[in-house]
Parts: sequence; C-alpha cells; structure tokens
Amino acid sequence: MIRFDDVTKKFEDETAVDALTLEVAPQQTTVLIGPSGCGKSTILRLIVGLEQVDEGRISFDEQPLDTWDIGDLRKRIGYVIQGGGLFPHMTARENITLMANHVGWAGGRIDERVEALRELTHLEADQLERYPAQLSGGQKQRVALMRALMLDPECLLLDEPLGALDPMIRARLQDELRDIFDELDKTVLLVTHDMQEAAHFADTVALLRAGRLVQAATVDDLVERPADPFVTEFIRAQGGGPSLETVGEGRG
Amino acid sequence: MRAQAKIVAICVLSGLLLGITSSAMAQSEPVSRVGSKKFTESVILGEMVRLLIQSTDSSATHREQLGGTRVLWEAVSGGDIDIYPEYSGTIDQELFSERRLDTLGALREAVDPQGLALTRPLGFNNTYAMAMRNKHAARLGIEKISDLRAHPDLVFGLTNEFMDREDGWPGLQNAYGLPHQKVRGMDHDLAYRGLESGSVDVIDVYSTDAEIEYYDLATLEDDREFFPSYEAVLVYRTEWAQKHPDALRAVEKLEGAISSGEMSRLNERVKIDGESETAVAADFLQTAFGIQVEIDREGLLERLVKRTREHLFMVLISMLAAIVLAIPLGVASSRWDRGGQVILGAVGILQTIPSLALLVFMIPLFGIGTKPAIAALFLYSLLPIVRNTYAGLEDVPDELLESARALGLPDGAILRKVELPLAMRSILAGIKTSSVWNIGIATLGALIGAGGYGQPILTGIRLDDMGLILEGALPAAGLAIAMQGLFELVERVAVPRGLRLD
Repeated sequence: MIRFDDVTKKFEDETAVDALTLEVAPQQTTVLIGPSGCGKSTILRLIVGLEQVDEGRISFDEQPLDTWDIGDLRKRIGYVIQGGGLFPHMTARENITLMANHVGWAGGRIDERVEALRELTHLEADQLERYPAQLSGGQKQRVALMRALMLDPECLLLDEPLGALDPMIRARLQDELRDIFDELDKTVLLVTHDMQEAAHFADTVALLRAGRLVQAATVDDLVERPADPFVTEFIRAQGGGPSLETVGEGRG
Repeated sequence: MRAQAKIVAICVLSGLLLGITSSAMAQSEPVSRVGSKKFTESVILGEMVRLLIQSTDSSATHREQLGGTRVLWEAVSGGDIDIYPEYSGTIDQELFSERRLDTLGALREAVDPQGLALTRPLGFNNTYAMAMRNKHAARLGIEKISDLRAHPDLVFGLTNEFMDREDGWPGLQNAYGLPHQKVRGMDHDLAYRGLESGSVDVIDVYSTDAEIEYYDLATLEDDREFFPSYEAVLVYRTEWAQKHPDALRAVEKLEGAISSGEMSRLNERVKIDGESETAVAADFLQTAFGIQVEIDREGLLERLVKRTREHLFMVLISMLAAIVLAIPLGVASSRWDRGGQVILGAVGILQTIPSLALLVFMIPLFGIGTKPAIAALFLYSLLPIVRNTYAGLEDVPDELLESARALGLPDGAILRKVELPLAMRSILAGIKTSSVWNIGIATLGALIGAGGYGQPILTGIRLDDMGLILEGALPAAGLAIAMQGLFELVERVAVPRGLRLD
C-alpha cells in the first residue's frame, strides 16, 4: 500500500530518516517503534506531504507520491496527529464533519456516517455536541479517530494515539482500538514508543534507530530471531525479562 | 461558518449606521466659508465676517478655531475656506520668512500668485509687547523697553513661541542689549497669573489682550521699534470675491473700523465677562454700522447631537476602513515573512508620527474638515488591528495547522475556518484598542475643522471654561466606554463558544 524506497530526510544537520526501505502491507497493522527521536513521526509526516523527502521515493497505492494531487491523497489517508489536534473552536461534531462539509457531502449522508462511526468508537450522542475543552482525553482521541475516518480513507496513520492517556484508560482503549482496526480492515500505520502497545496491535513491527530501519518483522520474529543486538536490548529495556513472554503473546 | 455569518452581520450593521450618519451629515454647500484661528480675537473677527456676509442675504458658515497659521493658510489657498482674519506681521514672518515684506503692498504682491488678496487694515495693530504690573513699573521708573537694562534682576516669563521666534526674545535681547538671565518659558495664560502673584516680573503679551486691563498692566514702549507691525487684515480668495462682490463689499466695512482699544474691549467681553463671540460680534456690528443681525442660539442638546454626529461619523468611517484594510494586512504579514516585517514596520512608523502633525500632513491632500481627519484617524487605527491580527494568527498552534492540512483542507479554507476564528479574540482586542484611541484622537479633528467633541474642548481651553471642556470630554469618554461595551457584546457573538470555555 505504501512503499519507501531508500528514503532520506534531513533537518539541517540531523538525519531524521536514513535510507529507509519499507513496505506497508495493505489491510494490515504496521507499527513503527523506536526510541524518541528515531524519526517515526517524520515518516508519517512524509506520507501526507507535511514534509518532503530529500532522497528516495515514497509510493502510495503503487503511484509515486509526487504524482498525487495532494488534496486527493490526503482524503484517502486518515491521519491522527499526536495529541489529536482537534480544533478547539468547533464542537466534536463540527470537527468530525468539517471535511465532509467541505467536499460537499449531503446532510443525510454525513449524519449516517457520523452515527456509524459513533457506534464504532463508543461515544455518546450528546458528547458530539461538546467542545474539545469539555471532553476527557480518551473521548478526544475517539473524536480525532472519527474525524480521520470520516471520508472512509483506505489508510489510517496514527501518531502515539494513546500517548497522553493514563494507564487504566490506555489499557481499555488499546483493546477497543484493536477491535476497531479488526472491524475496519484498513491499512494502519501506527507510531508508538511502547513495545507492549506495539505487540498489542501489530501484524508487523518496524523497529527504528536514529532514522534507520533495524528490523521489520512479526513480534515473535523480533523476540526469537533478532537481526541485531539492539533489538533484544530494546525489547528488554522496555518490558524487562518476564514481560517478554507477554510481548510474545501480545497478538493472539 | 457561523462566525463568518456573524462578521458579515456586524459589517452590515455598521454600514447601516454609517449610512444614517452620513445622510444626516450631508448638507448643501454654503456660499461663503469663513475661517478663524484658535484664539478669541480671531474667532470674534470671524463671527463679524460671517454675520456681515449673511447680512447681504447670502449664506455663510464659520469654521472656528482651526489649529494655527499653516492650517488656515493651506485652507484658504487650497479653497477650503474663502476668507479669514490674519495679521500682516504673521504673513511676513511665518509664510514668507525668507524675504522681508515691510509694506502691505509688498504682501499683496506676494500673495497674489496664490489667488489671494488682502483687505485694508481693520484698524488695530496686535503686535507683541512687553508688560509689567503698573505699580511695579512705576516704582522702578520703567516706561520703555530700554529702561529694563538698568534692572538686570527682573524675572521674565515668556511664551515658548516667543522664546523661539527670531522676532521674539533672541532678537529683542540683541536689539536692546538686555542683560537678563532669569528667563522662563511658560504658557501664556499662566504667565498672567505668575505676573499677578509676583513670581515673574515681565511677560510678553499681545497688545490687544484683554488681560492687560484686567490685571492692571503697563505695556512698555518699543522705543527702538523692534517688533514688526501686526496689522489685522482679512485674507480672501480673489475667485470668491469675483463671485460675491456684495459679500466683499460688506466685509470691507470692517476696514479701519476697529481700534486697538475697541478690539481689546471686545476680547475682554468674551474672555473675562463670558459673553459669546457671536453676541459680541453682533453687538459691535450694530453699534458701528447699525446692522441688525439675528443670532440663532443652539441649545446644549442641539450642540451635543451635532457634535456626536460629527464625532461618530469620523470614528465609524475611519474605523471601518481601517478594519477592512488592516485584517488582510495582518494576514499578509503572517503569511509572508519578510514582507510581513515591512508591513508591521510601516504601520508602526505611522503610529510614531504625532497625531497633530499627521492631521496637518493630511491637509495638502484632503483640504480641511472631515476628510483629512478621517484619513489621519484611519492611518492611526491600522497598527493595533494589523499587529493583533498578525499575533493572533501566529499564536495558532502549529499542530492545529498541520492537522487541518493533513485533513486535506486547502489553504484558503484553513484561513477562514481555522485560523481566523482562532485569532478572533486577538483581532477583536486590536479593534477595541484602536477604536478607543480613535475616539480620543478624533477630538483633535476640531483643530482642522472636522468638528466633533474636540470643538467645545478647544473653546473651553481658550476661554479657561471647565464647563465647556467637560461638554466635550464627558461625551467623548462616554462614547469610548459605550464602544468598549459594544465590543464586549460583539466578542460574545464573534469569538467561537469553544474558546470561551476555560
């Protein structure tokens, strides 16, 4: 669905993405993981055209990114930025329906779609009429997800979607979010720094270090057949000894 | 979407208000327009001229107490007024300072190319003079300016203008060899009080000042004839005179008709006895020429309504124009890095021009009256709105912009639906600041003939009449408070509800 061919992106002296080659498989969940500053978020930003590659090429749906009309591309990709990025001056519903209104969907169609997404994300109807300031962290994430899904994109990008939540809510939302991914059957590319979370969602985990891809594989392969000592080191530092098993069992 | 509808509604509403005000302002052009400077003698003479023209059954208006010689000269040569009282020495010294025009004939020749002409002298010479308390002068035996030399300890209290002018203190000191060191600059009215209390001994006066008699002062003889002559004359446009020969003939009655003593008494009746300039002028015309004139007096309410209309007109038009231009300028500044700094710098520089100077700069472009005042107020009102629009847009968090872009919203829609609504509070705060300044500065509009609340303030300062000052200052303050209140209402409607929750 999304292919990276030898992609490099530099910011002044710092190389954020270094000769990355990666295939994001359709209808699967791929998780980008690595220590902070490893270039995970930059990769998402490159896909939606918020940044431009310096070298190499990214293709979406077999077509190089620079041949896409940026507006069309963005409508086919749902992107939830870190923190949700909800517009504080709009109600949840206004946030969600902004693009649909802009591209001229009929009112009935909009209402139907909102209703379907609301059921999917388990939000209450009256919560849609609230402003972001009146919603909890978890509710805001659900609204942000609804907004990203509104135009029914083929591909969903999420940057640390559960990052700002407290552990209890985080655990519950992880389960819900996985159910949602399963139900939607979309190409999902998710960024996290948490190995347990990665194991929870991922068909494929891509481990990055300082802009370079270290290994892209299933969780089991990462644990059992690490390509580099850094892989084992990273997993151990994240979960400690015993949780390796939990990690391994993550996606049952 | 909703916020935009509200903005449109607000614009329509203010437009409507403007329409009403401007239609109320529209008047038929008067036939003759008289001007006067902002001191009592000039206003009295202006009223005499207006009443004389009206006695020939043609209509005339009087733009009272405009701010200074330059303003009036620009106005009369530019055709904004037709006639005003001036002094021969002033024309010579201030307008043709590079050459010495000693005679009226020479002055006439000098002004002729500008399409202007002078009447013959009205009869009095309002020159500078040095004055002391009568008893003090008698005790020291001082009668002439040259007698001052023998008393080097005397304290001088001089107006700032007199201290600076070549035909003032520096020249006088030279001509008479005055040794005095204790020379203070002070306001003319305060100098009289200082003289009375004994804190100064010698002051400069105009020879027709009413206070000379009131405070029992002796004016010292200019025995070396240092001061030029300041013969009162009327300056008028020759074009006007050709169209209105009757009016010219009527005002020419004033030639040689007013003696120094007479003028001084007329000034006294206004400044000390508190009569109106109109009544004093009418009285004089009746006694001197047997001309009966009717004075229509405006009541307080009538005056207030008229001034409110004038003031609101200036403020609303200039504000509306400023808003329409400043918001796009603010947007451009935030979009366009280097150019933005240029825009912000330029509107910043406008703000550093003293308001009075900016008003005067507008006269060559727009003449006198409401137009230059609106232009100056408009320029003044730009900065807070441009800056707040810029700051409001810059304060929109990057993540929200990215979020909007990633959704696929085009730039124009991001500006309208995300950035401007988020910046609305800041923009409104800028407009609010602007309008409160605007209302205050608009009181200076009276100096260039725009009327408004500044008119009674000017008169009040001139006549030292607190009541008159308040008649302008209170409504101006009230208007500023009302404007604040209005903006709080607008804020409630225009700032999105989601931003008012915290």
